[in-house]
Amino acid sequence: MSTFLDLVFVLATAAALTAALLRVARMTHRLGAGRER
Amino acid sequence: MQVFGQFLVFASLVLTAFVAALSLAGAIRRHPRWVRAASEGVAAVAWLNVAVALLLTHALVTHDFSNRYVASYSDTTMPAFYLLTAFWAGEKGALLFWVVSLSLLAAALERVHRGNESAFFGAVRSVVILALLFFDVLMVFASHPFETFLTSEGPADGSGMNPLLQNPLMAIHPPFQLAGFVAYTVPFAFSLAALITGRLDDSWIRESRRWNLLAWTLLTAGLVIGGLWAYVELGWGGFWGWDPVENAAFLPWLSGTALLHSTAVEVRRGMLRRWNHFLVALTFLLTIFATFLTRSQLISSLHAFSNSVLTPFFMDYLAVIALATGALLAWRWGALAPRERIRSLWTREALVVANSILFLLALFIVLWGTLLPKFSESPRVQDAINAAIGLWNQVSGAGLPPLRTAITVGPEWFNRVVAPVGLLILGLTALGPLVPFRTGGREAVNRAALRTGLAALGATGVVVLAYGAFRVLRTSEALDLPWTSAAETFLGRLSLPAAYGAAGVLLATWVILVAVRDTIRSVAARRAVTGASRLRTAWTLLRDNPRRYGGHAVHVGVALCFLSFSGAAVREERKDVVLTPGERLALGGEDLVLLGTHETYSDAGGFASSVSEVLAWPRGRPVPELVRAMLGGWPGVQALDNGDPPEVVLRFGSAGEARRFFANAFARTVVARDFQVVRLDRARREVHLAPAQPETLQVVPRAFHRLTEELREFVRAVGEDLVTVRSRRGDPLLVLAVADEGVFEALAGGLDTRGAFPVALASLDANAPDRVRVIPSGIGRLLAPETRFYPKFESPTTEVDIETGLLYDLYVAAAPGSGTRSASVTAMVNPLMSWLWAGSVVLLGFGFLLVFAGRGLRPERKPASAVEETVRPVIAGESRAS
Repeated sequence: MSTFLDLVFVLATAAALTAALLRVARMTHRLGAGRER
Repeated sequence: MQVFGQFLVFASLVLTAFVAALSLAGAIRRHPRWVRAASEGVAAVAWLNVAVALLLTHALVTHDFSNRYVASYSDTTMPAFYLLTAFWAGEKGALLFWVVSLSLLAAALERVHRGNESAFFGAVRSVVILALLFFDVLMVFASHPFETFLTSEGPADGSGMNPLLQNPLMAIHPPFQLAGFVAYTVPFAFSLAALITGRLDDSWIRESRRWNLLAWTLLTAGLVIGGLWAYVELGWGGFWGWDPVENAAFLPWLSGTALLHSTAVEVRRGMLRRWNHFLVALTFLLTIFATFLTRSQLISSLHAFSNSVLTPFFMDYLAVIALATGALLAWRWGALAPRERIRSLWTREALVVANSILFLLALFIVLWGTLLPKFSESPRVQDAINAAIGLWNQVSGAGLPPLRTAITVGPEWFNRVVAPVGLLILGLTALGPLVPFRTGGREAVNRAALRTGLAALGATGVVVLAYGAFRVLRTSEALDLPWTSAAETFLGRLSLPAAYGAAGVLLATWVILVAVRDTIRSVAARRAVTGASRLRTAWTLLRDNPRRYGGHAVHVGVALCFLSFSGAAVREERKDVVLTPGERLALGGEDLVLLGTHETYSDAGGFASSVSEVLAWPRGRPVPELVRAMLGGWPGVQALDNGDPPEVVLRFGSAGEARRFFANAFARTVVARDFQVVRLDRARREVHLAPAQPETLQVVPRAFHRLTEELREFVRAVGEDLVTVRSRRGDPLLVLAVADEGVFEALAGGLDTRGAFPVALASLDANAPDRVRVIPSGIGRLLAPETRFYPKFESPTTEVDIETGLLYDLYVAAAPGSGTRSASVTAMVNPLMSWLWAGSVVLLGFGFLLVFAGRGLRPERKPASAVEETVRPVIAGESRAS
């Protein structure tokens, strides 16, 4: 039971963190974008 | 794992600060790259906070007691569901909940305003992110959810959650309440953004209208669920006790409700523009104040579950916001001048102004009553008051005594003072929708008001007369008085609350009539053109003009709640008595009979509970013939005598036969429930008994005394020469030794047999030894209130049993009495309680429907009035109200 719970939470947390990192990446991209203009 | 959590919380703070800086700089410098980056950053913050929330949830469900918060608010015996809700049981978790929900709200706001790069929305975003940053800072530096123990790995088991909070309603009350508080950040941000950027038209109201409604509905849901919890869990029979924290949560509701109404005036008439900015700021400040009051021990309260270090932070935050908003409002004061004037007091806008004043008056009263005890605690305030009293005594010659202790005001004070204001507001609720904007009430409107008012008056007259007649008849019946003197007693005891109750019925009926009449007429008018079905037409109307028809629906919900309050105002029947098994209590038209008390142990919940079984029987109603026939056909029963229903008297051929039946009944009802038979010694005629559930005795040791007493009671009834009871010190074994063979066989036979027995409670008649008084089983309505004992918490909690009815609730709470077999029972009749919950369902259902129907939370493009203008010529009618 405990390992299953751990797995579920690890996956969910990892997913949330990935989404956050993706957004951070897009944020830095947006900060950089337009500099060429 | 906790270190990872600490890292993520810190990362979230840094990221939020960075996004706040980007957002601010982008808004000020009008820098599109920064604005776009900030927009992405908001989503990043939201996801990061979701990850933080998942980590804390994981620590809770896996019992990671190295986390201080987990160790303080959960333990290994708690059911999984409450492990999840322990998230918001304490301050740190609640703070994290605030942070997570505010960041999710910010992300949702970002989503519905996708691509919006205006300076205005930039300001909105900045305000929301700064509000988030404040709570982030608070969480990281003052109240960290991933705090660990300095010197150890943490305890082996946690301290568990306060049992009062282990209730499904309490599990969902905080998230609604907190989400309601949090959601008011959005309308506030729109208002502030309008003031900052100078976009001072009504667009901030139109764009935040649904958010405003969402916050209001969530807050209302929080209050209603909290009230329901108090009703079913606290055992005092009420739903609102004017506790400081209830009041604190009520304050933003009052100003928020005023805001919902006054914003409409700005959209339609360009008036109350300063007022709306003031109200939204006030509401936001009050949500912060309420949170602060809940979490601090400034005022001792039921809700102060923890001490807090947050007080100075909150005070500073409140002061900064108040000053900033005040300064902005002062700066834009001239530009916010009303565009039009009120032409007559008999217009919608004038009524809304009255509504605002009344709501603020109620707010002031509640605030005063809440803070007065705190202020008057201070010796300096007491000195000042005493100086005033002294002066008054000198001037008037009155001998008022000086004040020595803090002034406290109880629920009665609040009820007495707030009720008239509430009734006035209810009156406005009836009138408001009738009277149009600008032009005001013409003859047709006045006629409509008069007609609906008269109809409501008629209906109230009928209700009041019927209620009065019912009470008089009941009194004359119960006290055996002629009805004239009963009526005199009844009239003599009428008091102010009864008058409030009657006024409540009148005004609530009026509100419902006005709303229903307008809806029916509009549906009919539209159907005359379109020919669609009634339901479909009603839905179209609601969709096209949510302000008007949604408002009607919500008002009907409010009116139903007020009808329930009117019932509560005349609530009289409450009894607190100690009963022994078989004893009865007259309540209203019912007889409540205590059948017995027994203990059970809940493995899942980790608590022991004393359950009292109370039979509710409509007074005097005879026992059904079928049941009587069954009792009459029992072997040995010679005849049935009439007892006081639901009691039936069984007559036997001899005293011995009666005794044997009684022994048999005792074995099948009491012994089978409370004991397990360890040994049946037929040779010595002994029955060795042990408590049915030894676990309960570990939690409630005195329950053993009750078990012993049950056996002794049996011995006393049958006769000590025939039966004796033995027990050894330190041994939970009880031995019943029976001298009489017949009694022993009856007892043993009762223990052997399984299956239905038509008797719930039996007693030997002391005066007539051949008779046994019984209460048949399976009749009447059984109520089973409990008292629960948790091993880790000293004070037991009550679980009341409520029989909900259309006209009244039968409410029973019971605790094992100090006497060994007794139970102290609190029973009451609560008139019209279910109407409160029904009204709340209507209110909240339509509230949420209006938030999410149609365009949802996306900004409104066209004011609703534009649609109205095209519909209006179609609805030919006298009422042009909207």
